[in-house]
Amino acid sequence: MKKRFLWTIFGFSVMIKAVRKPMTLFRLFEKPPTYIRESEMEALSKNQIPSWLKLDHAAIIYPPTTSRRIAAMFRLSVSLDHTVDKDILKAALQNTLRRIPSFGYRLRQGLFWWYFTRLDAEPEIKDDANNPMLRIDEKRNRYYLFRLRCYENRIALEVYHALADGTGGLTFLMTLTAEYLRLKCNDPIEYSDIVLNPSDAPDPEEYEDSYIRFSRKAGAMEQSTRAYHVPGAEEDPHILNLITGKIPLDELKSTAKAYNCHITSFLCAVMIDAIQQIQEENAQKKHPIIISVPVNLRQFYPTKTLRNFSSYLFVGIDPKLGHYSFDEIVSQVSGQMSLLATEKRMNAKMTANVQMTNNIFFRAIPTFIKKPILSVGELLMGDRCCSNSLSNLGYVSLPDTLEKHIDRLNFMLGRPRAKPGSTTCVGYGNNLYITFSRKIKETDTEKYFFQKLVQLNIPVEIESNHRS
Amino acid sequence: MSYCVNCGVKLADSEPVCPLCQTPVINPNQPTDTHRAYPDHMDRFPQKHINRMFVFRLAWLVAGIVSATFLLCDFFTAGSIGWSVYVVLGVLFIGSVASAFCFASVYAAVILSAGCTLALLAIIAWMNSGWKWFVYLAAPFTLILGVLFFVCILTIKKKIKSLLRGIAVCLLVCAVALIAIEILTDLYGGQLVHLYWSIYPCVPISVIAIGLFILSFNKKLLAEIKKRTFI
Ligand SMILES: [Zn+2]
Repeated sequence: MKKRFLWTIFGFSVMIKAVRKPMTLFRLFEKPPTYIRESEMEALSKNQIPSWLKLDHAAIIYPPTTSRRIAAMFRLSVSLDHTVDKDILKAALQNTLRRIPSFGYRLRQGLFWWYFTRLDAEPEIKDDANNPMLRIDEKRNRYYLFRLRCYENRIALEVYHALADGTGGLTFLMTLTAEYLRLKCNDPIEYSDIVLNPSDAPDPEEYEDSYIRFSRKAGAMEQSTRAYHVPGAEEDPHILNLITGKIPLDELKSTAKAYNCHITSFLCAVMIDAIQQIQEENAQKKHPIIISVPVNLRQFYPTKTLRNFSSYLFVGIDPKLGHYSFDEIVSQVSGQMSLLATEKRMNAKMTANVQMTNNIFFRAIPTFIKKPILSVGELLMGDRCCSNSLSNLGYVSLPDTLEKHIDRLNFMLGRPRAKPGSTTCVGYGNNLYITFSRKIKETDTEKYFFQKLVQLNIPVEIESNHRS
Repeated sequence: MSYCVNCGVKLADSEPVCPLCQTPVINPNQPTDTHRAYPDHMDRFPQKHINRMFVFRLAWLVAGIVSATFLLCDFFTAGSIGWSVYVVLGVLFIGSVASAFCFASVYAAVILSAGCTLALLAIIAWMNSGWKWFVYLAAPFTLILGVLFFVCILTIKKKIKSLLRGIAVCLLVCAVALIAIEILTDLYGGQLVHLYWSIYPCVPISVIAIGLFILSFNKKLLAEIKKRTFI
């Protein structure tokens, strides 16, 4: 029954093709290359996928804050045990795009909102660069909002944040890597919830806007104040400085346990401690030190969405009240975390956002007026209110068939708009990889952060993108 | 595998200095030529995509429609063409200057627009048969402004080693231009050359220019200002 249905849809799509583009009929009789999957699947998935999409409720903040030089990008990379074969990677990318179609969209500006339209062209694979996550040149990138790069044994995926969040990006990259390894090594692959099977049809739930589905009635915005920014000389606008620390998870876990808190709270506390030290050395007037911590909302709600579905919370201390010892910072941070990172609070925040954007008067403002309003709003409520950010993608556990080929994972954020730097971490294997990206020359935050870890008997290995 | 003697962190083989504190790594046993974590290649910003041909055509279309409307209005109300010629001339002038900036390089555009201005003024002078003000006042005035713009764009664009020095040179050229304009007006009025009003703006401008010039050599002070004013 199901098969007959598939064939009917396939037949219809051939007829439509014959009417719209008669030449494509000839291609049906060509022998397909061995690594391309059944055209039947292609016909099915193309029919299902909407030709345009609205941006989700978190993504709408990104287009107004994007300029020629600034774009919110993030990057995920895997290091394999062998040099990457670009041709096979290209084939794997095509198969992955068929499975996760929400990455194959282009951003357009409508009269009242931005929207995505579906792309047909094949994306290109780029070489890696010293300054990753620069704003995508859409025309040269065939209008794709992500960029796949490779360098020796590393595959890196750079995503414009309006398209997906860290979890969505991770699923895309892992599906791609698994498909690449299947084509390259011919190994059977074990699939899981972050390693999707490319021969399955895409699920509409994967590109839904989960904010709408799970928001309730009562919304509450959070108050935010101006936070301390570490001073420093700004680098040229195209330069991004990266420092990655590799920390053994066992030592980190046991130390965090000794302080009776989670790893995220512990790392947050170390960072606040480092920034407090800088503020005491530099500033006369004290401002609150606040760290913005993104929260994955998938932990509260059952959704398969691969687009944005995360929120954030602010944790921090106010040094106006006096010097905080490290123990005090840890208890402050873990207390605030358990108070704020609850389903009720997160829902109120997301509901407030959904309600604001659903307001008919706000919706009726034309895009060119909405753009500066949202841009200024983001500047006042976003980077101004946090000293740094700490995005923890969590521990990534992969099926054994995949894990034996992947040496390490990396996660990083692009150049921040107004704050001096942002921080990201991901756990994989026996290590936690924490990456500081900054737009200033000074490395004080990183220096005090890692020195504190060394003081606490946690070994750290450092790597950077220094220029020769 | 080395450690930073200052921070106590382990450093990847690719790091010749500690990325945190810039302390050089001294390890006689370590091979110097090691694998780098990132390539040297630098990405560049996206190019500005402006369809110049489209802007050019649109500008001339608008200019054509506006001129035709004014000519027709003038003709039907007064029965002959009088004042509307000036409107048409103005529109033509704006159109040519805009298209000069659309196509040619910015230097050529400045020269072209100076030429257009001269032509416009000459036509007006010819229509009113009053050549004196054109030859003694308008033409030299246009030329001075043209040279001023040319030098300013040249110094800012070439950055003559630093932007501050470029601005200083521009300010000095402005001061000279002011003096030249006063001399010109004096000569046109048939008076003796007597510098009077141009001194007042010239003195502070020159002082600022010299200050900027000296400041541009003080790298330390500049870095400090950059650091303090960073938002
Ligand atoms: Zn060091």
